[in-house]
Formats: sequence, C-alpha cells, structure tokens
Amino acid sequence: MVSRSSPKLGGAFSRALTYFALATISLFMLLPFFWMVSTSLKIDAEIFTPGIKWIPSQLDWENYTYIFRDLNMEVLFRNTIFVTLIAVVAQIILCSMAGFAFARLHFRGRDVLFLAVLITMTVPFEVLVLPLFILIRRFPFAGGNDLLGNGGIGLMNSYAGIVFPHLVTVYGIFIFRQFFLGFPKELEDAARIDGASRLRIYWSLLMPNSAPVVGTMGLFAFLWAWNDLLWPVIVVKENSMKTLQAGLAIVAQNPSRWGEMMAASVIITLPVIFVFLLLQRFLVQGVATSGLKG
Amino acid sequence: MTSDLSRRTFLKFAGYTGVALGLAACAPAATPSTGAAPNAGAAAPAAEPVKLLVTMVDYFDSTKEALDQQILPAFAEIHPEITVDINYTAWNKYNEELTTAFAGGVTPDLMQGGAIFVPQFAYRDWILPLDDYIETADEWNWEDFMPSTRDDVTIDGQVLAIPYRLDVRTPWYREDLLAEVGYTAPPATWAELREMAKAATIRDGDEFVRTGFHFPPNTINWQNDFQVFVALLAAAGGKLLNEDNTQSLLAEPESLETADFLRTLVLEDQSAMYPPFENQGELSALHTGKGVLTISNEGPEIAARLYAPETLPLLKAAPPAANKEARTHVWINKFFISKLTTKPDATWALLQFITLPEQLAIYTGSFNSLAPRISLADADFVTENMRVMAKAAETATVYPKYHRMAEIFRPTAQALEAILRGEKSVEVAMQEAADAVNNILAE
Amino acid sequence: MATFQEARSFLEGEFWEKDSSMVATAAKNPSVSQQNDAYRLSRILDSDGFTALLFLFIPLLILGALKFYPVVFNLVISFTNYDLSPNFRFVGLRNYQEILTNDVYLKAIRNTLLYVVGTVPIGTFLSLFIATLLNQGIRGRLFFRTAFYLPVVTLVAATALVWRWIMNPQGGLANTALDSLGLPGLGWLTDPNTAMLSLVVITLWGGIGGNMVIFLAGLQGIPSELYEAAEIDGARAWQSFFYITIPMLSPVTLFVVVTYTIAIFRSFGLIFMLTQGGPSLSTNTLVWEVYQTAFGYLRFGLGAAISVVLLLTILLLSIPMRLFQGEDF
Repeated sequence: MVSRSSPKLGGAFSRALTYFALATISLFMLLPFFWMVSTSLKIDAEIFTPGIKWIPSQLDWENYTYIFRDLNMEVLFRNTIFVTLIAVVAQIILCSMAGFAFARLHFRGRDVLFLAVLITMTVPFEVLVLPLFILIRRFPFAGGNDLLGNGGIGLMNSYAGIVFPHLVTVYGIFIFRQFFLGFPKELEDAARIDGASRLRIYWSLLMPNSAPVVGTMGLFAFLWAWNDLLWPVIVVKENSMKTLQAGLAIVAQNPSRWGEMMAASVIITLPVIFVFLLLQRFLVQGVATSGLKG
Repeated sequence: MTSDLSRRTFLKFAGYTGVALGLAACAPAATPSTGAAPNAGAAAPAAEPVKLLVTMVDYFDSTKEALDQQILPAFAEIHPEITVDINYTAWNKYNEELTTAFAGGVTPDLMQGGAIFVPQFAYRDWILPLDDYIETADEWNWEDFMPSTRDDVTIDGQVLAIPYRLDVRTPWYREDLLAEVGYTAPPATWAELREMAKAATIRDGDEFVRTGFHFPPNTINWQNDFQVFVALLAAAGGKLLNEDNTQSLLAEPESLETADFLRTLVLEDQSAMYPPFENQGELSALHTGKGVLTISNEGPEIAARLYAPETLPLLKAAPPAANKEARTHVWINKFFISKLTTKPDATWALLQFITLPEQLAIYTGSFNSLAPRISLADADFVTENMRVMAKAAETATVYPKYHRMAEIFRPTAQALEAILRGEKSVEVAMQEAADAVNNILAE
Repeated sequence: MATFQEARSFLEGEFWEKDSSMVATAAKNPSVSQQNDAYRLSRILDSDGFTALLFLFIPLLILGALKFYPVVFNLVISFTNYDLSPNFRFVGLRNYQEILTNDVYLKAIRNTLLYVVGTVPIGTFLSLFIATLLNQGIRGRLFFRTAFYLPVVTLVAATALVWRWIMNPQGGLANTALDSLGLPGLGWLTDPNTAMLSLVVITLWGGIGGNMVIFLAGLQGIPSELYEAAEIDGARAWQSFFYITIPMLSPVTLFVVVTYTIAIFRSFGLIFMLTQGGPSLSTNTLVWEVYQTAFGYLRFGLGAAISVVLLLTILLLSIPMRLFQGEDF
C-alpha cells in the first residue's frame, strides 16, 4: 500500500533526480555485495588475478558445495534458527513490556532507572564478555553445577547459554519506549475511560498498532542473534551445538580462503535478507492514526 | 601466501599474547604418573573411556583431513578407550576464547599456542609441566627437537609445551628478476642486499613500478615491518631484551644499526616502498613481479603453488643475509596441556602421539610448514626452499621469555613506523621505544 | 483538523496525570464494603507501581545479570590489577593515573571523538533523507530499501576484505575511480592522514541502512493529513520536509542520534579487521585500546579502567545533547 506519509514529490525533474540519486547510492551500497557473490563463484585462480573482473568467466559452485558437504550445515542452521527465533520473540515481548513501563507508567525512580539502564548500553560487549561468561559457566544448578556454581559446565554448550545475551537489549527497550511515548494519548485515554486496565492497553491497544516498531525490532533482533560470532564461540565448544557463525568460522573468519569465505558470507547473509523482505510490510503499515479520523 | 596469512593471523595472535588462564577454584593440578606415558606401538590401554577436548586453531582443510583420516584413527588403534573431540576454531577470537575459558575454569585439555604464549601462561600457572612425561618417553625422543625450539618452551627449567611448527623468516627472492639486473646469487650480506635492492628497483617518476625490497604488508594483523626488523636484528647479533628481561636493548648499537638499515632502504635508497604494495588476495608483490626481495616464511611458495604456479620455479629462499652473523628469527607454534585438565595422562598420550616423527610429518606437512624435528628436516613434503629455511632455523633466535612481550611489541612497532615514514630519526625513535619498554619492564 | 497547526497540536498532545478516580467510576458493585475492598484491590492491581513491577520484573532481572553485573564487575576491577594471574591486588587509582598521563590514551580519545563526529551527523542525515525518499510511491521502493539494508547484514569480515580491496592504494577501485576523474590517488587505509576518513566512509556505508529502517518506521507515525493540509496551504516538497517531517520525527531523530553515537563509540569490528588501531595509531580508538589491553595484554584491570573512561566520555558528550533537546528524553 502506498504510504503518503511524506511530502509528495512534484515535477518530473525532481522525480528523475530522485531516481538518479537513489540508483547511484544503491550501486554504491550493492557493489561490495555483488563483488562478494561474484568472488564466491569464481574458480580460485581467477580470484587473484590482478585487475578487476566483475563477472566470473565460469560459474564455479565449488565453494558452496564444499561448505555444504564438509561443514555439517543442517546442524548449524538448525541451531542458529532455533536460537534466533527465541531471541526475536523474547526481545519483542520483554523489551516492549519494559518500554511500555518506562513510557507510560509512573513510579518512583522511573527516570533514574531508565537512565541507569541506558548507561549500560554504552559499554562495549567485549568488556562484558569475561564476567558474563563466568556467570554462565557458574550458573547454579545448570550443567552439573551445584548451588555455588562448582563442578560442572553451567550453561555452556546449551541453547540457553547461547541465547542469553539476546533475551533483552537496552536498544530494544529504548526504541519501544520512544515509540510508545510518541503514540497518541487520545486513543489510550479513550480506552482508559472505557475501563481498560493498563495491561489491556498494552496488549490490545499499543501492541497491535505497533507494527512498525515490532517489525523493526524483530528484524534487528534477528540480525544480532544471527550474526553473533563472539559469544557463541566462547560459550560453545561442542560441534553439535555450534551456530552458523561459529561453525563457519573456519572459513568465514579465515582470510586465507577467499572463495570459501565469500561463499560462507553469502550463505549466512541470505536468510537475513529474506527476513528483511518478509518484515518489510510491517515497516510500512500506517495504521497508527487510523482511529483518529472523523 | 595461504599459510603465510594464517601465520599472520597466528602472529597477530602471538602478538596478542594469547589468553590468560584464570585461577579456577576447581581442577587441582594433576600430578602426572610417570609410568603411564606410552611409547609408540606399546598398547597400555586404561580401563575406562576417556574423552579429550582439543582446540585446533592452526589448520587447513588438508589438516582436518589428515587428522580425521590418518592421525586420529591411528591413535584410536593404540588407545581405543580415548575419544578425541576437536573444536576447530579461528585465530580471530582465540584470545577471547581461551581467556574466558580459563577465567571460567573450563578449558580444553590440549591447546595450541603461538610464539609468546608460554611465558604468559606460565606466569599464570596454567600449563601442565611435561618433564616427567618426557623423561619416560625415550622412543619419542625429545632430543630430536631442534635445540632452539626446546629452549623456547622451557621456562625455569620446566618444559611446558611441545613445538609442532616452525615459522622461520629468511630472504626470498625472484630468481628471474634478480638475474635481470645481473645477479645470479642471492645476497649473502646486508651490503649485498642493499646493493641488489637498489639495482632491482624500477621507478616511473615518483611511483614504484617494482621495489627491490618488499616489506610483506599488513594484512589482518601484525606489523610486518616489525617482523622484518626482528629477523634482521638476529643477524646484527642483537636482542630485544637483556638476559634477565630487565632492560630493553632497543637503544643498543645492534638495534640502531638494524633500524637504520631499514631506514636506508626506504628513505635513502628508495628501494623499498613503505607502506608496501598490498597483496592481491594471497599473492604478494613477489608473485606479481612488483617486488624482488623480501624476508618471509614459506608462504610465497605455498601461494604460488596454489594460485600462481608459473612463478613457482622462480621463487627461491636464501640463507639469512649476514651482518655479524647469518642468523634470523623463528616463531614457534606449540601444543600445551592445560593445568586444569582432569585427564593429563590421556592428553599426554595424544600429544605425544601427534608429535611423533611419523605423525608430525603428516600433521605439519598438511599445512606445508616446517616441523621442529631434526629428523624431519628432509621429509618428503620438505621442498628445496624449505630445506634452506630449516637450516636457518637451527640457529635462529626466539623471543625473550618475558610474560609481557605483547605489550613490548607496540612501542617497538611504533618506533619503526615513525622511522620508516621519516617522522623521527632512528636514535630518537628507538630511545623512546626503549624508555617505554623499560617502563613496562619495571612495573 | 482543518489546518496544519491544529493537527499538529492534536498529535503532540499534552501529557496529563491519570486520575485513578476514573478507575473507581468504572467499578460497579452493589455492596458498599465489597465495593471498597474490590476498589482497593483493583486500585492496587491497576496501579502504575504494580503494573510496572509486573512488566519490568523479568526484563530487569535479565538485564541485571546481562548488563548491571558485568558493568559493576568492570568498575570494581578497574581499581585492581586483575590480570588473571596470582598477583591480584587492589591498586586504587593507578590505572586511571596511567591513562591520564599517557599520550596514547589521549590520542585514543581524540580519535574516538573524530570517529563519532565524522560519522553520526552525516549518517543520521543521510538515513533520514533516504528514508523519506523511500517512503513515497516510488517504483522499485522495495529494491532500493533492500539495497540500502544489505550492507548492514553483511558480515564484517567480508565487508572488511572487500573494502580493503576497494581501497587498495595501487589499483583499487577507489583510486581507479579518482584517477579517471583526474584526481590523485589516496593512501586510504595505509596513510595515517586518511585512515580515519576511510574508516568513516566504510562505517557510513554499513550503517545508513540500519538507521534508515528506524526512520522508515518513524515516518509511519506521521499522518498524511498533515501533508495534505500543507499542500492545500501551498507548501512545496522541501518545505513539507523541513516543517513537517523533521519536527515530527524529532523523537525518532533523537533516538537515532543517541544510539548511533553510542554505537560508533563502541564500534570495534571494522577496526579489528582493517587497521588494528594503525597506521601510526591514527585509528586507535578507546574501544580498540580496551580490547588490546584486555585480551591482548591480559591486563583486565587496566582495560576496565579504559572502558570506564569511555563511558564517562559518552556521558559527558550526551549531556549537551540532552540539554539541547529539552526534557523529552
């Protein structure tokens, strides 16, 4: 559906200009990806010839067959999909709940608490990794641990361990809060007058009308969980539990095998693009104000 | 340079010192029982099944194959009760992997490490000493390992790791390109190196068409001008630190001489481009004819075999160019056993097996590198060029056994960079670096 | 909503306190005491406080473990020499002292700020601009959006390789293009003077799509009535853009600026793959310092201290931003 939530461009000239600008920038954006795909389909000898060759002279699927044949892809895919789906659902639910609380509920210390939460976003993950891993390893009553976390491996090599950092994100809470803050109060007040509890407002009013932000967060959560390399590599040592990134690390992170590396990158990227295309529609659903007409 | 690149990643890793082991509450240090180390061929199976976790970070496809199809099955015949689980990972995140593992108290049993690992780990009491095992492993023969490599893994009289791979840096050159300017033999001294580099350089106005001397470029990781420096420093008879690691020797005459030599090549003779020509994927300037001489490991040969076979017969390795002596530097990769292991005997059984001459030849041969055993200097997979390098490895220097080497690299590399970009004079830059290093040593 | 002004104030709406008597009027119970009890219970259950507890309990519990605990851990060890060795001891402010007196860290702060200032304003504006363009009835909208988003999903390792190849000073795509325009080639990632610039370009390439998606979502919240009203009043496209789109998006823009700034401050992957802080420390940012110190040198105490400095730098930077934007934060 065509959204008119933008100034309409008038005039053939400005339209042409727009198309031209978009096309140029798109080219710039796509170039590296195209080169990646192209390299992944080249025979090795051709990858390293000096000079720029865009189209491979022959399509060689060797890199892809190698990956699928030798690297246990079903297991990797299965693990990654499972973990990513949990991450997406968890983040949408938990972050929207927290975002709602921070946006629409009043309680003592709300703003201070939110600020504290926000501040933690400034800390890079590399810094958090060590204490976090210790926590996971020593998680009480998990993986053979006792109450004090001794004796076993905790949540290592488990789905719970892998998905843990993706259950809630500060970014998610922040974005839901901002979105809910911008939501027209009138609808909410109308519902309150009709006797709805806050829970109902959250569940039946805000969320269904939050398609854009849910779509956005769904996409981001998917992307972060799917592309996460550092954490799965640290938490999973067991081959049967590895995720795509970790499992393909032997090619995807090893720069001495370009062809396979590009192929691995393409394989890892395609599902995300697919999800992006899928979630597109949520990003353009303009129903936020539909209840206000008339 | 397929293996060169993975070596570079390894070197980055070495440059990062690897991982510190945390003192974990659990897993006390196990005392190896002396009688249990099996010799090759003698089957002494323990009763219960044992599972070992090995982290393999230095490998090729062929290595995986070699392990899965040859080495591990052979091991299983001797030790049917031991299953080996290999976790293939990458150098990229290895630091984080190992640090967190040790800090969390759950580590692999057998691990690989880079050039400056052992002091780091020993400092944190993370490695299982292997002396007792080695004593009883006569047939395995520790003496067969090259002296410099044995020394490298011995700290305070304890053997802490077993080397499996050598990374020696010697001059490599394009025979044809050198012949074009009238030289039929590689440089034997620094003076000759300088002369040949000058003669072989071709310029087009301000631009380099071909550099006489080619610094292997930065790829994903470490400063390769620094590596060249260290290799040449050995020839100048110099070292990075003094005997008891309390004093930096970067401001000593040998270091100054080496740095000045590089400066001369870049700034005076202009026979070396800095920053150097970037690689075309795996192919360096030597393959594309843009560089004539360099100082490197066997990477160029491997890359040539795979990607530029027409250059293969033209690439030659040479003995180190002498200043005071014909000597160079070697980086050594090693296996070590975690002190946190609960199955030291089984782990040693595996380690010992892989590093037997026959198995080591298969293993290290799978990535076309040099194995540290004297008896393997002439193995099948060792090419002409590699033989030259093996010879150089016998007398090569290794890094000082200081547990904070990683921190020392940076001021040194910075000083070199400043010198080669013409920003600082040799004396000033090296003195600054020496001061910075002394600060670190003093802490 | 005849005029734009009316429409705007309608949508901006004033926040007002919820009056709990509204809840009371909704309760219909015959018996007075039952009514009172039910009333009190429903008051509690429906109070902001209780609902907040319900809604925040699990998220904050997880966040506590995920963020608060590691941050506190970090803060604590920043006052020690924690390096996973047996020599563990408290060193007070020594780490901080080292940071403040060593040139390298000051340079790192400077580089970090350069990186942020170079990337955030341009990136935010471009994302907004492109989102606006792509929100209209242009043909091929989907294609363009996907094209712009593609860099965001591409793996850093692959991105780095490709860009390294593009920015190859000898014969890479970038210099070839410059050459065809008659301009001299640049050293890009190998030249200390242009390395940061190159990094910014690559970062922008990889980041615009992400913020574009957010702006797209935000644009959905602007009702078309506003544009129609403006059109009736005779406004042109760019006027609508500046007087409707930008102001209406201001909460979203603030969000993007804040999160993007923080993201750049934390940005690690590209530096790791491409420059490792070089050449000549020109791309050495605080995060890279933290990583090197912690995982390279294994000096976690010092690394933690640097990360605290990073945090303080971000906070200091965000204070003027908050003041500038007013209380809506």
